[in-house]
This record gives sequence, C-alpha cells and structure tokens, in this order.
Amino acid sequence: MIRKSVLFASVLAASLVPFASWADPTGRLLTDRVNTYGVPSGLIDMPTAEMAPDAQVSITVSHFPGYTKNTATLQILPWITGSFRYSGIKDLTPVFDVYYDRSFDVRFQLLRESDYLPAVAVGLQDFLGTGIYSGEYVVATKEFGNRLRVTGGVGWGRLGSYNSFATIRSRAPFTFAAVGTGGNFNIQDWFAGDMALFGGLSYEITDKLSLAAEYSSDNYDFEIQQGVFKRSTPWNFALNYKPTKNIGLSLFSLHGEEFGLRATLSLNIKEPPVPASEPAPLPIGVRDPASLNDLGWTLDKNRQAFTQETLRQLLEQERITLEGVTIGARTAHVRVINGSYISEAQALGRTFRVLSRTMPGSIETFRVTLTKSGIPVMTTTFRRSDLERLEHGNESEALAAAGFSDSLSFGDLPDPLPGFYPSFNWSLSPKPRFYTFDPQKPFRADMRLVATADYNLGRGWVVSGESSVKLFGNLNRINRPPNSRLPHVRVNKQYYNTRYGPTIDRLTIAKYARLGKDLYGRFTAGYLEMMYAGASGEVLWKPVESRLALGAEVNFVNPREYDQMFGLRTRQTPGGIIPQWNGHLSAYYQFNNGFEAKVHAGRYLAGDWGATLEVARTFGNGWKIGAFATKTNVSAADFGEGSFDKGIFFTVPLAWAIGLPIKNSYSDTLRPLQRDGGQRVDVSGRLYDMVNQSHRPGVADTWGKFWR
Amino acid sequence: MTGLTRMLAGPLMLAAMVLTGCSNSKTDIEPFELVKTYAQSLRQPSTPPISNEQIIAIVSQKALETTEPDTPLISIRIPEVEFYNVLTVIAENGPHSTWAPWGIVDRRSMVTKNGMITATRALGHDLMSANVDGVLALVQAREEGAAQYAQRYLNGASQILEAKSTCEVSRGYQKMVRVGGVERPALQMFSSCISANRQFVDLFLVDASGRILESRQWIGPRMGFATVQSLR
Repeated sequence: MIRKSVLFASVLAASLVPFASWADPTGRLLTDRVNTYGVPSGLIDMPTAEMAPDAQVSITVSHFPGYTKNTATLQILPWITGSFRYSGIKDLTPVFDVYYDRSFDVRFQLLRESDYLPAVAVGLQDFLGTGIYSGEYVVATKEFGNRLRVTGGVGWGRLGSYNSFATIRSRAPFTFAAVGTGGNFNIQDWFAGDMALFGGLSYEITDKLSLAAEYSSDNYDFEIQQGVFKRSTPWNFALNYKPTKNIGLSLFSLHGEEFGLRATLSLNIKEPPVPASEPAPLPIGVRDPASLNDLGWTLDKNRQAFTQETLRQLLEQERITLEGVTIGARTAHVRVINGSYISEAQALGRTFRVLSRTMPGSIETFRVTLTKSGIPVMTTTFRRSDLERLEHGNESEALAAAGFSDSLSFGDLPDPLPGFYPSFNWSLSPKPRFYTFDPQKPFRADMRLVATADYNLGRGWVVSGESSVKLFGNLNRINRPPNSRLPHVRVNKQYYNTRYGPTIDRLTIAKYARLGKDLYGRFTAGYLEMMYAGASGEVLWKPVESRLALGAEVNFVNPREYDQMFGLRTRQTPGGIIPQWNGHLSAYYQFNNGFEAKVHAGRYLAGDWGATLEVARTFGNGWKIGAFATKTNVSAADFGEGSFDKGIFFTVPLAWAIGLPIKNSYSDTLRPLQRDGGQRVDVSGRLYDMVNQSHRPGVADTWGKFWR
Repeated sequence: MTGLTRMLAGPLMLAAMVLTGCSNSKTDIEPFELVKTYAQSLRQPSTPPISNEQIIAIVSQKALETTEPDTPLISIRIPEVEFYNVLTVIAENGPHSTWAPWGIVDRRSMVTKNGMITATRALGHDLMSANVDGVLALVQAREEGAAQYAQRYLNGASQILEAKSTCEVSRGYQKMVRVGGVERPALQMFSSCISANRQFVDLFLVDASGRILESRQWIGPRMGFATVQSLR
C-alpha cells in the first residue's frame, strides 16, 4: 500500500516536472539560480553546496536600497566556482557618496550528493580584496524529491556574525583603517573568529517559479554601525522567476526591513546560441585502383598546372589560402594559411579532403604544413589510403593515423608560390575601449574605428600597422591624477586612451624565423604598442608534440608621446625614471583538460623584478577565460591600492555567436586597479600564442572538427 | 522563425556585421553575406505558398524524369531542422554514400551505409559518425536479435561525445511500398534502442534482397527523426 502511494506520488511528480534541466545524475546538485552575491545558490543571501553547470557564465545585479552588487561568475570546473564582484554601498563612509568595492569569491564542492548524504561545499567570500564581505563557510545541501532542497551550514566572518555559538582564534572586525592598500590574501583570518549556523529551503513550484526561505547568520555589523542598514529578523524570503533559460529574476525581503531585486543573465560556453553552420565539407575523393600506378601526368606540364590551379581554387572555396605546393610522383606537400577556422583540425580536415579530390591517383602521401606570419609551424602527414579508409569511421582512428612533425624535417617543404609575396591585407572595424572601476564613474567606454594593415613581405618579414580614431564615448571625462610612487609606466594610460586621434596604435616591422628544430624566433621594432616604442626580441622552444614550451624575451623601450604619433616622451616621470630594458623568461604548459598555465619571471616595465602566474581555461570553440597575478619586489605600500597586480582576462569568439567560420574575437583584461608594478610591454605577435594552437596538443583537442 | 526571433536576429546580425568589419581577405566572411542572410530571413513569408510535401512531390517528379534510371534518389524529411529535400549521391566510399540535394547547389549533406544514416553535415547539431554494423546486418538479413549501436556528436566546445545504445531488432508485418519509381513488397523491421538516458525506435522497410526502401531513423537528441524514402 505504502509502496503504491510512493509510486503514485513519484509518477505524479514525474508528470508535473517533465524535464528538469538541472537534474544531474552525477550528484553535483546543479542550479542555475544565484544568490544576492551572484554565486550559484538556491537561497537568498546565504550560500549552498549547489554548483552551476560546467562552463556556465553569469552576470548578476542585485539591489536593495542603498546597496548594489554586480557579480560575474564562472563555473571554472564542475566542482569549482569563481566570482568577481563590483559593489556600491551608499553613505557607507563619509569619504565617498557611494563606496565602491571589488571582491573575489571561490567555492569548491568537496562531496557530491548521494542517496543518503548531502553535497558539501567550502567557500571563501571576498578572499582577495578589502575584506568588507569576507566570510568563509562549510555548507551541505540535500535534495528531497526533485523540488525541495534543504541547506545547512556553518560560517565565519560575515557569515558567523549573528548568534554565534563558538569562536576559533581571533579575527578583527572590518574597518576601513585596517584595509591599508587592500587586495591581499588575508589568510590568517580565514575560518577564524566567531562562527554561526545558517540554513534554508528552496522549493520549485514550476520550472519557472520557485520560492526560498533562509535563516541568515550575517548580522550586517558594519553597515548597522554606519547606519545604512536595519535588521529586525534573521529570516529572508524570496520569490524567483525564470522567464527563459538565460534570465533569472528574484524579488526578496531581507531581515524584515528591506525589499530587493535581483536579475541574472547567464550563458553556457559549451552551448553556443546557434549550431555551427559552416557548409558541409567536400567528400573524400576515392581513387580508381587503375590510377594508382599511372604516372603519365608527371610528363604533362599542362596537367600539373591545372592540378595546382584547381587545388588553389578549391581551397579558397573552403576559405583556406594556398601558400605553396610541391607535387612529387608519390607525395604532395602543401603549405596553407588558415585564416577562418578556430579549430586548426577543421582547416586540416578540409585541406586533406581537397587534396584527395585534386591530386593524381599515384600520390599516396599527403603533407599539409600550417604557416603563421610566413613561417612553417607544423606539418601533418596522412597516407591517402588511410583518409579513404577512415572517412566514415570513428574520429579517433583518424587521429591515430595522422603524423605530426616539425616542418623543418621535410626536404620537400614547398616555397611560396611565385607572386604570393608580398601580400597586403587590410581591415576596418569598430572596437570598444573600456575604463572601469573609476570611483567617480565605474564604467566608461569609447567606440573607435580601427584600421589595420599587414604587409607580408615573405620569409617571415611583416610590416604591420594599426591606427584608430574615436567615434563616440566618454573616456575623455576620466580625471584620476596618477599618484604612483613607481615610475609611471601604466597609470598614465588615461592620457593615451582618451585621445580622439587618429592615433598610430601600432606600427612595426617584424621578422619571424625558424631558428632550428623546435625553435622559433621573433624580432619586432617600431611603435610596439599604444604607450611604448622600441625593439623586442623573443625565442621560443616548442616541440610539436609537447605540452611544454619555454621562452625568453628582451625588450628595449621608450615611452611614446601622448598624441600617439611619431614622437617619443621623456622617460622621467613623477615616480622615477622608466628603465629602458625589461624582459622575461617564460614557461608554458597546456594541460590535457583545456587548462593552460604560463609563468613569466623577470624584469617588468618599472624596473621591478618578479613573476607572473597566468592560468586560463581554453575551450575548443575559441573561448578563453583566465586569471593572473604578478608579484614583484615592490612593497604593497609602494605598489599602492590593490597591493599587487592581478586580474582576469577573456576571449569571446564571434564564431560562437553566429556559427560561421570566422576567427574574429574580442579579448580584454579586467584589472581591479591599474597600477605600475608588474607591468609588461604589450607587443603583438608573441610566439607561444602564435604556434600553440597549431601544434599537436591544440589540434588534438578539437580533433572532432577534423571531419566537419 | 517566429516574428520576434526574426526581429531579434536583426540586431544580432548587425552587431556581428559591425564586429566583423570589412577587409580585403578572400577567405573572410563578408558583412554583405550576413546582411543577405538577414534579408533572407525577413523575406521568409509566414505561410509558404506551397508546403514542404508539395515541394518534395514536385522535385521528386522532376528528378525521376530528368535523371538516368540508375541515378540514386531519395527523399528526406527532418522536421526538427526543417530539412525537406530530394537527395542524390555525390560520392561513394565502399558501402558509404554521401548524399546532397539534387538539382541545386546546397552544401548540406548526409552519409548512409547501405541505407542507414551514419552522418550529417551542416544540418544543425550534426551526427558526426556512427557504428551501425550490428543493427544493419540484422535489418538487411530481416532477422531478429540484439546489437550495439553508437552515434557520435560534437559538443559546443568541439569535442566528440559518443552515445552508445543497445538495440533489439524485431520483425513486423509485410507491407507494399509504393513511392516514386518503387513498387515492391517489404518487411517492417523495428530497432528499439536504449541508451543511458534515452530510448528510440527506428523503423525500416526492407525488401527481399535486403535493401532498405523506407525508414524512420533517429539522428540525435537535437535533430530528432529523419524519414527517408527511396525514389528508385
């Protein structure tokens, strides 16, 4: 009887919830809702052990009177969430009308949910910032049925401030005086001080509508002390509404005193809005057995010229540029430039298909060399009969049959086609420029029209320039007098950034070269970037099969005139003289789960010595999101606000949004603060980023696109 | 597309066009192509003057009349991606045939192995490749039994995901197939497949020689079923 009613209830439940998008058999306890802090949580102001789906990105704005929090969150791995927050609190201090604050959060789901046990997560809130929101927690969440989730946890810091039941070590309460330059890890405070319990429930009424109630352990001590917040109960309530998959809205009541609103916009990097819609590739041309030993064509110059021209045209139809070709009796070797496909594997696949349709039947070996800036980067070899045999097979078999090698190991490496060089390319496109986190106005932007021109002379010589003019925007209203104690190597950026122009953003002559097996070289001279002119030399060691690369770079620079024409400025600045020499030793490693780490150690622009660690997650569709931190021998006091240089960077590919083969993307770096310590020259054409995606690890990561 | 999404596509395309800018490269997407795509999407009348079925009927007739009697022709319907077409073979590789729309230049294609769909290209969330041998052997022999079946897809980050299923092949009734130039008795063969989180049933009408004359085949979770009919 009981079993029957349970069965009935579950059938009823199943029929009411036809498809719960976040239902996850792996026990991750997924949610696409967030709390007022913009981190995945079904509650209101409190955290849970829930995670967002892997690679989910969300932007959340939550507001209640006097208080606004803007948070960007990324589900870094299925069990790690990272957030960056920019918040404004009105009248918190007499110094500012609105006090703006930047903070970072990180959360780890340590245990998955099982039949009887809850999911458990540990989190650090505002672990790298002023500490105004700082709090740590251990939290457990369990789902009952598929609508109700119950959460309970213990918190420290802010989350241990109401009704605490115990104290571990000591922790000073937040004051502005104690912040100092801020932006540091306050490790001694983590999981220290008063601890308190919190908890709550979330319930799904329908797929779109849900309710939440919680008991909050945040006493809003500092805000109450400053008279900007009132609190009469520990209870918070919320009604959530999800009109579409990507939008979440919430109306909440906070501590019986305030009503607030929250809006969240989310997307998943792994789920493009449109499916990839490149035209279908050409089928492999399967040879007639009779043609295998027919070498008559080797005596026929017309036939050879025709073959080469057909090859060039078919490749152009596939949006691939033929740079050179050698056709032997049994082997054909082509050099191509992939200017369209984010996945080099896809460009390779299409090139091999074209070869199979154009080359005489006697040719059994195909080699395709990818070139970048006129230098060969990798050669992929296929036996033609393997291509014929594996066209419709499992993709991994084709990967196993492919050979990847350094192009220098081939004697038949083709020369560029006669007349191919010099080649001239130009483009014209608008480009935004942002200036963020100015306390007077946290977000400013200009839209500029950018013209680029590349004159490729061949043999790795490239003359390249970029010029821009402001179309509209409000960057010219920036007024933050630099107060740096270091040579002003970057705080002066506002004097450059804000010019109407036309400005010469870059004008260089560069020579790229293969210095030997696995070795690449670059020398660039001219106006290297917006702020510096000079010369830059780089060497990179990177075997084609290797996930590790090592490099070295030396730069000789001089600051440019603010108008960004041809003139140079004095190196003398209020903070000291800008040194002419800087440079780094670098190590790069690409992990096989899409993560990439870079370490640069050496001398930075202001003459400071130190190291940078960059970690990024890269996706086969061209997205990249990462974070970096630089620690140099500059003290936090000399560095100024923020204590050391750090930030996040990202690349959003246009192809992801429109589904067409196009390499354009938008990249930017977001720093909580731009100071002078730990700054590098921004020279273009750095070698690792040029060759890495074309080497075996990068090609293998998107091998699924080989037959696409 | 509904009116709203069509309107939204405009600003999106415009943004894309603006971001693309323009250049002299021969291999770049031109802003003009994007404008054209948008214009075409606007021009789509809300009720087409003739239905997809009528189009297939007219094109089938034309294709049967104008091609050699040994030119392979099939009709295909994939409602989920609005793909209604008459296809012909553009390439063969062993038992695999690559099909593309007949009579027009349209770079979308599909691959079959003796009548069973193993891949699609440029149709949306494409089926990249499939292992169909076990089921195919039973269906062609018109025998009952169990077999493994695997279909592979690209996820949004360009990685291959494989969906493996176990299929139970069973016999149905004899039926007369009359489509295009085909008029032959055939046997219904069902293939009921179960994978980790999904199940589907494919249907094949197979003649005495083992040829699949008509079928309804599951392509994948995002593309649903395809209905294929041999016209010859």
